[in-house]
Parts: sequence; structure tokens; C-alpha cells
Amino acid sequence: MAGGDQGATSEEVNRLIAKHARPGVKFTLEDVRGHRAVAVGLSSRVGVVVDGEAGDFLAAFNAGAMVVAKGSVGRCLGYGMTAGAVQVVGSAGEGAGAYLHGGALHIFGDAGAFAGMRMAGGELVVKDNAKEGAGAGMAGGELAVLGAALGTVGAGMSGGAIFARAGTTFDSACAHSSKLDPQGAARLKALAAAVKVAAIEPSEYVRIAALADAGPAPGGEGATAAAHVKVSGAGASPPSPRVTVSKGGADPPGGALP
Amino acid sequence: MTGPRQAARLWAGLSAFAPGAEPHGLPFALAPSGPTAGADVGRQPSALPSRPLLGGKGAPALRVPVLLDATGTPLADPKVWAALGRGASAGGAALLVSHVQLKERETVLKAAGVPLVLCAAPGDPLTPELLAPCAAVAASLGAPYGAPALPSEEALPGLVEALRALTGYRAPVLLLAPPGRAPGAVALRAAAAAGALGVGLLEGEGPDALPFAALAGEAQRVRARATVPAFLVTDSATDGVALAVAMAAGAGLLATALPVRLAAEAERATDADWKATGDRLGALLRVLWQDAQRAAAAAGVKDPRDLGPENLRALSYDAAALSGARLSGYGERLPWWTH
Repeated sequence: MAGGDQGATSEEVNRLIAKHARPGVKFTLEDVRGHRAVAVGLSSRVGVVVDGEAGDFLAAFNAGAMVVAKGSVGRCLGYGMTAGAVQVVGSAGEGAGAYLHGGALHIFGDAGAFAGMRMAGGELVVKDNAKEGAGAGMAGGELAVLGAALGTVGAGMSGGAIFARAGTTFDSACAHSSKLDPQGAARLKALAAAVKVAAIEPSEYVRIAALADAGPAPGGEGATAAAHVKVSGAGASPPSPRVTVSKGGADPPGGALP
Repeated sequence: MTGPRQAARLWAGLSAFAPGAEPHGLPFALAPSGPTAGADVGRQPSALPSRPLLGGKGAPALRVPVLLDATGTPLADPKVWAALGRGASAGGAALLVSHVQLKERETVLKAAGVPLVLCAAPGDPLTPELLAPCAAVAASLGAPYGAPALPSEEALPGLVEALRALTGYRAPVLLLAPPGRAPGAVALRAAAAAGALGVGLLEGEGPDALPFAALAGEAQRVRARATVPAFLVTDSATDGVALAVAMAAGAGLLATALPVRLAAEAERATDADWKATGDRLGALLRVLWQDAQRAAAAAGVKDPRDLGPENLRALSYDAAALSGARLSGYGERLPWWTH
């Protein structure tokens, strides 16, 4: 099925996605420039590829869709997400994965401040660096920062686990740090593989967990089977991306990534 | 704070203009303005306003500017919900519910045909299906224990757009600010541009509770600086005159938990009939609205929703200082309180 030049504002793009959202449908959004709240609350196993610079709240409240952003994204990526998978090739703004409940959020660049703020489940992997406040108020799930985590991580955390480089400052009033055991090392490698990092040295990382937390928190639901989404851009005026809808076989999650 | 006698009078459906009625207790009075002031005092108030106030496409509309706040009251009995739905629907008010309450009682509430406003706390697992029966969504900007919903105020417009998208651009979005922590004017203006219909100011409880005068002052500041409608979440309005005062203080809408608590207490009686409780609640809301109309008419305004700061007079120095309203008898704002 093919749609045409329908897209313009975030509202029109979202309406179009909602209209055609069925399992196995793939949307590709081209020429997205700062559009806020795109691909919000999708529960079908659809796929959305965002080509351009998405604005705030990309894939917020996602409940099953596979969303791939080929550029950088704004604030609050995957806010309140409960299932599905989101991959960002570029960097994410502040509050990425805030109030995350489930699913997988993979950032191939840097993350802004307060990544994983008050997340309660799922997994958030940052390939490069995270600014201050990562994992603040975290209650569950897994947060892995493979680069440097600035400031204090895990401030006020009450659950979950943070994988960070040894020497990272954490909130010792409510969390403790430990070297990775074989299980932890295997888990870190699995998380790193999700952002295409094959060679990682687990001895350089520690696991930061809440003082009250005895064991590792369960991971998220992980990536769902991919749906296909295609939105093709016109390259015309900045606020008017074109949206096309295509239907095809399932791609593996992250298949569109470099 | 509401005394037991005031609560009993409210539940009995007694008018604030009935003989023996006590003053509402708020440190404000309504002052007439305009050439028609006092002309409509003898007019019989209508039961329900004809123009709907708030409502999404396909959902029941709110007709009187009252939200019955059920979010903080534990209501395990389904009969209480049935009574609340019946009463609120008859009175033209809406129910403010949490996502858990909506999930559990959706069938009862839908059957009652009552307008529902979902109070979306940060981290609530929201879905388009959950929001489908709602007339509006009120996004709480503070999680329990004081945690913010957002990493910064700049993200506020995005949250509004995300919630609007979640409702299919069908229902309006309101914001609920924690006590004393309303977002800045720039953020509110941006949120309004993104589609937020108004911001609710919470009275709070315990040590965080704000006096009504402070709430009124905050509402006026929001309205003046951010040009965004405000509404108040307070239990201080115990009769229709107090409701009119709250409207004049800046509230386009008033959310109160008091009638919900009274209905829940009535329903706990062993021989309680939920239909009778619902009818009683409906009568309470009708009297509340009619009294507010009378009070507004006396101030020269046809509809209580059209009351404004020009109709508000503070009855004490403290109330004038906290609210910025004119002190009764002084005629203008005290100059050292206009900052």
C-alpha cells in the first residue's frame, strides 16, 4: 500500500500513522525537522523510520512499535514507553527514557541530562556519553552507559541496575557499586551488542544498584518483531515531511541501522 | 478548612441564601461591576448552562465548571462509583479519576454517561484505548514525593502534544501544577500554543497546603503573565457563593474532592441506596451552581464563569497580600503588594 504526500504537521503525520497502523506495516518519515510527539502511543507492531531530526517526545508512550530515528532526537525520547523498541542513530536530548516501563531504547550517540529518569523497567543503552543525572529516581530496569556518565548517576534510585564505567560517581546514600560477576558481564555484553559494540571489556565497568536491591532487575521486554514503516520525504519546506506507507515482510529490529 | 456543619449543610443541599446559612469562610467577597450590577438578583437561575464547557468529540461534555476529584479518595465499593456517576451526570459536572480507577470502573462510569477527566500522573501507562472515553486529560506535572514529570520546563509543549496525540487529537489537555510550583510564563505560553487548555493549581494537603488566598494569587498571576486559563483544585469552596468567589479569583474551573467524600460517607451507611446517594449528589451540584449564578448576578455578571478579578475584594490584609486582590473598602490594590 502506498500513501502519498500527506504529511505536514506532527498531527497530520500521527493521524496518518494511526489510520494505517497494522502489524507488519512500515512507515518512513523523511525530512522530519523538529516535529514533536511523532509516533506516539503506537500499540501495533508497526515500524516507523524517522529520517531527519525528530523533536521532543518521539515514540512517547510506545506500546509495541519499532521506531528507528536516523538522526538526532529532542527531549524525552520514549517517555513512558511500556513495550516495543526504539533506536536512535544520533544523539538524544535530555530525559531520554524518562518514566520508561518496558521495551528497549538504544541510543547510538550521546544522551542528554537525566537519561532514564525514574525509569521503572525496560532497558536503556547509551553507546556514548550521558550527561548528568542519568538514572535519577530509577526504580527498575537496566541502564547502560558505555561511554562516560557525567555528574552523579542513580541519584535517589530505589531499584534497577546501572552499568557504568568504573569510577563513575553515584549516589552512595541509596546505591552501591560492585564489580561485574560473570552474569553481569554477560548481560553487559548483550546490552552492548544491541548498540553494535562487539568488543567491550567488562572489567572496566561496574554495576550500580539500589542499596535495598539484592539482585539484578529483570530486563525489559526487548525488541519486538519488526513491523515495516516507510515515510518518504519530499525535501520541500521544513515543516512538511511527506509520509508514505508500505507493507512488507518483517525486518529484524535495528536492521535499518548502519 | 471545611467544618462538619458546613459539610452537613452542603450534603443536605441547602442553599447559601437560605435562612440560617453560614458565611462561606473564604476571605473574599464579590463586588459589583458594570451597569447591570444587581439587576438580575431576582431572576430564577437555570439548572444547567446551555453552552458546554469542556468535552472531547464523542464524549459527554462538562456543563458546569466543577470537577469532582475522586483521585485521592479510596473508593472500593462499585456502588459508590455508580452513585458518583449518576450524581455528576445529573449535575453536569465531571469526574476526575486516576488511570487505575478508570480501568477498574470504566463500565460503570460509561454507563452513567458522566464526563470523565483522566488525571495522568507521570509514569502512568497511558494508551489511546484508555483515553478513549475521556472528555479531557489532566497531566500532573509532579509525581508523588515531589519528583518532576519532566526534566525541564522546556519539554512541556512536547508533553502536551504527546498527550493530544494519544487522545487522537480529540480531547483537550489540561496541566496540573503541584502546590506553589506552577510552571513559568514562557513554558505555559508554549504549552498553550501546543494545545494546553489551562493549568490547574493544586491546593495540596498537609504541610504543603496553600491557603486559598495564595491559590487565588497564583491563578491571577498565571492568567496575567502567561495568558493561560487557570483552574483551582481546592476543597475550600463549600457553597455556591464560594464557587463564584473561586471563579472570580481566576478559576475557569474548580476541582473539589469534598462532594466525593460526602457521597462515599453516605454510601457507607448500611441501608444506603446508591441511586438515592447519586440523586443527593446531583441536587448538591444543582444548588451549588444555582447559588453561584445568584452570586454572580448580584455582582452584575450573567454567568459565574464570566466573573473576574475586578469582582474580587479581599476581606483581610493577609488575603490582599497573598492574592493581589483589592482590599475591600480601599478601592485599589495596595501599592506595596502589586509586585
